[in-house]
This record gives sequence, C-alpha cells and structure tokens, in this order.
Amino acid sequence: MIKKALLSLAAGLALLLLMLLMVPGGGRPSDFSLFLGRFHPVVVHLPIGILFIGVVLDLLARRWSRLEQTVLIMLFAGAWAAILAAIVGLYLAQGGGYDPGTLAWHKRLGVLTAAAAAAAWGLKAWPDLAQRPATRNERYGYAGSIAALVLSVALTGHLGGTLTHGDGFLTRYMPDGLRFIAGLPDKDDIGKLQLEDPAKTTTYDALIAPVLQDKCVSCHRDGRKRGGLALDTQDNLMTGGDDGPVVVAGRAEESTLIHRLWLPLHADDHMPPEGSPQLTIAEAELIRWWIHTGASFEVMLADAEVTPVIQAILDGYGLDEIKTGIFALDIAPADSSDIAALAALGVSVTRLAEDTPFLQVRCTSAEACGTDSFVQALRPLARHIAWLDLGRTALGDEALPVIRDLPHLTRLYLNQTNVTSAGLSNLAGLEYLEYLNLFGTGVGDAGLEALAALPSLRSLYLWQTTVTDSAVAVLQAAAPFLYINTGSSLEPAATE
Amino acid sequence: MNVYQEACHAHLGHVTRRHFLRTAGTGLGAIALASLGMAPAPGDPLAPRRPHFTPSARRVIFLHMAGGPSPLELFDYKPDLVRLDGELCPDSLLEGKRFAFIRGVPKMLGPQATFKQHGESGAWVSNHMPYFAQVVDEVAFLKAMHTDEFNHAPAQLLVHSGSPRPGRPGMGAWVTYGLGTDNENLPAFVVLLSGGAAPDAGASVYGSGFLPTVYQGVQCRSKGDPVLFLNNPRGVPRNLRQASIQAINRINRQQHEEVGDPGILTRIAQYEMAFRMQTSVPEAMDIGAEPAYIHEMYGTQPGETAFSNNCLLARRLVERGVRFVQLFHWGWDSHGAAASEALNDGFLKRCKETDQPVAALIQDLKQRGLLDDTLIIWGGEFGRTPMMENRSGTDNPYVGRDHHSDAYTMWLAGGGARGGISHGQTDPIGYSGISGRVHIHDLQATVLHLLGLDHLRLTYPFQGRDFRLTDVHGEVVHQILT
Repeated sequence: MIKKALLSLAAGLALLLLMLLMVPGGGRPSDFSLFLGRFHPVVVHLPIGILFIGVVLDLLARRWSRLEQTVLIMLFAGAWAAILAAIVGLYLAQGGGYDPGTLAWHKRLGVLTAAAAAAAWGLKAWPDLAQRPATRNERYGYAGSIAALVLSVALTGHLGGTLTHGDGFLTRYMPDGLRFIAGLPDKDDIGKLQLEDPAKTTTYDALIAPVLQDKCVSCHRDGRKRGGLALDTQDNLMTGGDDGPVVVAGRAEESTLIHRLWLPLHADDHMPPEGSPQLTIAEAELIRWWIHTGASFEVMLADAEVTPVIQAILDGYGLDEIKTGIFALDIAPADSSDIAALAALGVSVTRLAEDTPFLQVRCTSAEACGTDSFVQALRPLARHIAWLDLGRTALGDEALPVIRDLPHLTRLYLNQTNVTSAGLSNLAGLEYLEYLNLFGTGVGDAGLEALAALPSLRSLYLWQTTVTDSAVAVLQAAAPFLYINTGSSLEPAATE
Repeated sequence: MNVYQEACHAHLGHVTRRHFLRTAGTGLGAIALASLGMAPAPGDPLAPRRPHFTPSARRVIFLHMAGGPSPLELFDYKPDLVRLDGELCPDSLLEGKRFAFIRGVPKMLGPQATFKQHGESGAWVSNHMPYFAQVVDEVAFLKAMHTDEFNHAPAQLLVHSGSPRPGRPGMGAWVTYGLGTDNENLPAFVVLLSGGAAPDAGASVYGSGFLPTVYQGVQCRSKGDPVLFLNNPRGVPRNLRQASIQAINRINRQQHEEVGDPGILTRIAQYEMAFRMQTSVPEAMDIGAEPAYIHEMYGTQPGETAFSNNCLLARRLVERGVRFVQLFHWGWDSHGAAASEALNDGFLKRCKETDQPVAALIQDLKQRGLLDDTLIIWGGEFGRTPMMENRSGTDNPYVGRDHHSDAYTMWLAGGGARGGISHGQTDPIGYSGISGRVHIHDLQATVLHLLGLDHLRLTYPFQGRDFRLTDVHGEVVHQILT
C-alpha cells in the first residue's frame, strides 16, 4: 500500500517535471489548456491548507504520537494537491500577461513545494515500510523537508498574490513605521513619479519619453519601424510614419498618436496592439496633455501649464477614466428647479450627458434671451453651463457681462447677434472656452486682442465681421493652435 | 350582471385608472392645452433630452442618393478595372452570387471617369465631382460599406430603419425620440425630396414605425406650400383657428383622461405643432430671403423642386434647430438600360445636380461654424457591380452597372467625423471590401454615437421586447471619430 503510494507520488512528480519542460513555449495556447489553467486559483488553496494542517499536526504529534498517521495522510494529500495545482498553474501561465521575473520564481517555488511535501512524506513513510525506527539522517532529512515546505508554501503564495494583485499589494496600507523597517517609502509617497529637478528637466524628457520608451519603442525605433514609424528620438516622433505625421502640435484630438491610443482595445488600429502591455490611462493622458500644450521639447517641467488632472497624475493618484477640461472638475449637479425656471422662458436646456453636471443651453428667440429674467435664470446655473448658444438673436454687448460669471463655458455661439468688439472683453476669464462663433457680428480688429489670451480656444469663426486680414494674422501668430475661419469661396477644382 | 362581467368591468377600471395615473404625472395630459404658443411643457414628447454621453454632433443632414450611386465612377479609384474593361467576368466572382438583373456571364466595365487626388488628404475624386473635390479634407470616407439587400426598397429601409421590412422607425425618428427638438416651432425631423420621384420604399423610410407618430418625418416642399394641408381654410382667421384647436384639444384631453390612450397625447401635440408651424415653416422654407451670393454658391433654382434648393433649405433648417434633415435625390440607379439611367448620361446629370450644392453645403456650414456640430451623411442604399449590366443583351449606346451590396462608398462630414481620412478598402476591382468593412448597422451605431446616443440603450418597448435602430447588431466605427 505505502509502496504503491510512493510510486504514484514519484510518477506525479516526474509528470510535473516533464510538463515544466514541455508546456512552456510560444504561440497561442489552445482554449482548452486556458480552460484548465483557470482552475489554478481554485486548486491552489488545497495544498496551502492541507500542508499547513499537516505541519501543525506534525508539531502536535511530538506530544500525542497517535497523530503520526494523520500527519502522513496530510502530507500525502498535500503533495498530490501541490502537484495538481502546479500543473494547472503551468497552463494558466501560458495565457501570458504576468510579470516574467515573478512568474519564473513562482513556478520554481511551486514545484519545490510539491517536491518538499513528497520528500517529507517519503522520509516519514519509508521507515514504517521497512518496519524499523527512522535513522538519524532520515530524521534530519524529514525536519529539513518540513522547513523547506513551510518556506516554499509561504513564498510561493506571496508571489502568487503579487502576480494577481500587483506589486506592493501587501504593504500598501502597512503602517509607516513597519514600512520604514522594510525599507519602503512612506505611504503618502507611493506612486509619486520620481522626478528630477523640474527646473532642469523638460516635460518631454521627464514624462513623455519614458512612456514611449517603455510601451512603444520595442516596435517603433530606428531599425524596426513598424508602419514606418519610430518613436525613439524627438526627430522621429515629429516625422511620423507611412501615413504622415502622428503628432499635430496643439491639437491632440487630431493627432494620430492619440487617436490610436484611444481606439477601443479590440479595434485593428489600436496601439499598442492587443496583447502587448498597454499604456495606463494616466500615461495616455500625459501624452495628450503634452501635445495639447504644444508638443514642445524645450518647456521645462517647472514652467509647464499643469492642470489639476496632470497634477493628480504627478502626485501618483492615477486615473480611472479620461477626463479633460471641465469634465475633470468636481461640480455638484444643478438644481432641477433652476433648470426648469430657465426652460420656462422658452430656452432649450439639457444636460450634456447623463453622468455630467454640465448643461447645454440654446436660445431660440430673442424675446426669451437678453431679458433681465433670462440673466437672472442663468445665475444659479452659472457653474454648470458649458455650451451656450445665443446665436441668431438680437442680443448686444449689454447682454454679455453675465458671461463673466460662467467660468466653465467651452462653446459659445454669438453668431448673427449685435455683439461688437467692446463686448468681447467679458470673455477674458473663460479658461475652458474651446469654440467661439462670432460669424455675422459687428466684431472688429479691436475685439481680437481679447481672444489671443484664451488658453483653450481652438476654433474661432469670424466670417462676415469687420476684422482685417492683418489683425487675423497677428492673432494667429499669438495663438498658433487656433483654427480661424474668415469665410471661403467655392470654385470647382481642376479635375483633368 | 354576472360575475364574469363584473370582473371585466373591475379590470377595465384598473386599466384606465392606471393609464391615467401613469400619463398624468409625466405625460402631456395635465398641461397640454395651457402651452399653446408657449414653452413646451415637461413631458412634451419633443422636449429636448440629454444624450447618454457628451455629443459631438447635435444635428444631422442625411443626403440619400436614392438608386445607389456607383462608387467606381466617384470615389473608389480602381486602375486595374481600366485594364479589365470588356473582359468576361471570371466564374470565381459569380459563384454563389445573386444579382438583381445580371444573368449569365457579364463583361467587366472599366471606370467611366478619370480620377485625381485632391486636398491635403489626397483623397481620390473623379472628374464628375469638381466642386466636391475642393472640400474632401472635411470628409471621412467609408470605402468598404456593405449591406444585406440588393433591391431598392428593402435596402433603403435597411439604411434608414435598420430592417429591410417596413414597420420600424426611421433613423430621424429614433434620433428625435432620443434627443427631442431644439426648436418647438418646427418639426424635429424634416424630409425634403427631389429628383422626380419618392424613395422606392415610400414614406416608411422616414416613418415613425412603432414610435409615437409625433416622431415621424415631416415632408416639406421647396415649391408651392412647404407643408401640405397646413393652411387655414378660406375665411378662417388665425385666432379662430387657435380657438378651435384649443377646443378640440380640450375634448381630446378629456378623452385621454378617460381612456388613457397615449396616441391622444400625440394628437394633441401635433395640433399644437401644426398651429405653430403655420408661421414658422414658411419663414424657414423661404429661400428667397437668402442673398444672391448664397444662391450662386449652391446653384439654386428658385421656384423649382431641386436638390440644390433642398441643400440650402437643409442649412436653413439646421440653423433653426431642426434635429434631423433627410434629403432624398432620386435617379442614381445607373443600369444603362436607358439614357436616364446610364453612367454616360443620367448619372452625369445627377452628379452635376448634386456636386456643387453638396460642396456648398459643407462649405457654408463650415464658415458659419455649424459644421463642428452638424453631421452630414452622404450615400445610397448600395453600390454597383464592377461588371457591366446589359439587360437586353444588345448593342446600345448606354453603359451601366447592376446593384451591388458587397462594397460601396459612403461618407460623413462634420459633427465629430474625422475630416481627411478614408476608412476601409476594396479589392482591386471594387467588388468586395478587404479591410475596414462597415455594415449599415455599424454606420447607424456610429451616427448615434456622434449624437451622444448609445445604440444599445436607445430602445423602445414594442410587442413584448425592446427594439433598437441597430436591431441586435452594430459596432461603432471609432476609427473615423475625432
């Protein structure tokens, strides 16, 4: 009986060692092996529990010798459970996505656990089989196996946890005193980017190049330009690939680089390709922000326009989703009675989306807008209005002061109104304004001066105003990322 | 009264009371009449509603080229097809395929156009669209569209309602149902026809299907009365008309309180809408108010029923907050069986009729700052074969192509569609898509996405289940979004 058990255990260990040599290898694993692999988390807890009880019973057996037989059963069952757990674990590892260094040690120690349990059982069972007391060497061997078993179960389990939950899972909320003893930084500093002196390092070198290096350059570098694109040097990054430039300075949303990062993971054009390490949302947001603010290689980190979102990333908070501009702000939803009061004036008011407090407001008739009651109805919603369409009404400059109190405007339509240059000074504080429509107004060159300083402005419509080409050129020079439309003519193209 | 009758009676009482309670709280019933000529009350089926997520488009202009324009003569440049012109089509291309008219082994037909690259994006456009060639940088081409149907009516129904059979709401009805209207004085969903005939599938391509009828497309005309049956009868002044509508609606409201039929609320809303439209529609539809240079830009034909007029009207309507403007231009069915439907005759006329107004519409919306949040969709219900169709088998001076559902081109412009890109590719003869294939349901999902609507969640319960525009299909084409 014991002989058979001994043989079966030896066969099991041999099988495990064989698989350790055979199973790893490239190529996509079959669905069935992945199916088996996913039982690893279930099976793996059996040897941990069984062997733990075995070791405890072994200590107790020194006092109550009738427990000896139970210890043997526990060690045998634990050894088999460890072999099974290791085998399904090898299948699970085939699926990929684990840190290779940690995984290699986890594998070795897992096999060691199975071997140590089997050895301990064998060294204890063998003398019984021979019907003689254990020799001195067998006793030492047994004690050594139990010690190795305890260590390897603990270490394998810890590494398994690290593989699943990520590095630092155990110590994340460890008291600072213990962290100090363990040689870890204080809790508050966890995740904070370790930056060099911000006055001496550029934003690009500090924040962008490391991400590209880490996630992109293995396929996009001189010597291996996938899609004709290399991202290893500044020149290569700005040159772009087979389909042209990938970075449009100041216009992140039009940059192919950002586009590819933002595509859904399963889309063909998504980068990095599915299965490769992906950029974190925070990393993608850093790149977007760098392009949005001009894609400069010279700006020092200390001089960069750091938004609250970017500051949060630098402080190590990470990001759960992409939120930019006003959407990164934490604003309580508007009171529905305030919305109803504005709507009652004949104004179209709706939320921009279901999960945001921001509103779009559209004025369809001059009678409803521009009155004192309209201005009064806007006030309680001042922080919530993001899109304000006052176009095609008879509003004039006298109605604009209320805009000073709408800090979160991103789109403002004043087209075909009586607004003039004088009224535009009210826009000076709109730090989030991206779109401004002044088509068909009395705005002239003087009004443009107020617009050059709007940091987020990207689209400006000036057709049928009195602005001159030279004033537009001055504005364009001051705001290089701004799209300015002054109207256009339509002639057929030469097609022959 | 026996027990059964009594039970029926009690049941009826429950039903009507429940219906009344349900609709009186959120519905129109309680407040409908007070709002004549005033702001839309909460519960108005056309009141503006928030989308699911932040939209990039707020309005849509859908230019449907009814009949199925040939991409091989417009945007899908196939130099190899020039070489193959006149060759017999190999059997491998015909195996297992069905065509609407082609029988036996047809001959290949080379492109009936010359092509050049235009704009910074280098998009290929044929010599038939010289104006459009100037605005290609605003356009995102979908070069490998495909559909399930190769006959006009079912294919048109699929494009607009997501199903090849009648009975489902059109895209404009879905969008209006999802977002309401920004202008209570105009229909939220307007339909403009040109080209001499209505779409083959009839008004059901812009009908409301099982949605409340208040969401159906309202056909407006650029010649004569803009909306039929909207004028007051002779001798009935506006205030008398108002009084009579108020009286009718008061009776309708009583009826609704008694029986709880939501159809009555729709009727009340429509009477109100019709009354408001009596003044607002003629103003919006009067292209005579436009300056001469705008007429010149669009190439309008005042007083006629013309596609160019409809393009200008579409701009006027979206400016005023109309949510969805649906244009149909008929006559793109280029079989080659007669002059009117030949690639070397009728097709060229369709190009000429539409090229300048479409380009003008894009450009005009752009300079008004409206292209940012107005989505333009251009396309037919299917494409055309790279083979020549010769239905009678005789020599005739006209060339044409048969219906083809496997590969064709549509394009989007504005409203968050990414200008200057081309998504998808067809094989060297334009017969099948080889990459970036986009099905009609994918296009619909994408259009809704641009409007801030999740096509999986824009549903309407009918006959025991929730219906969607995209049925059980549809993937957003993220590659063409900004």
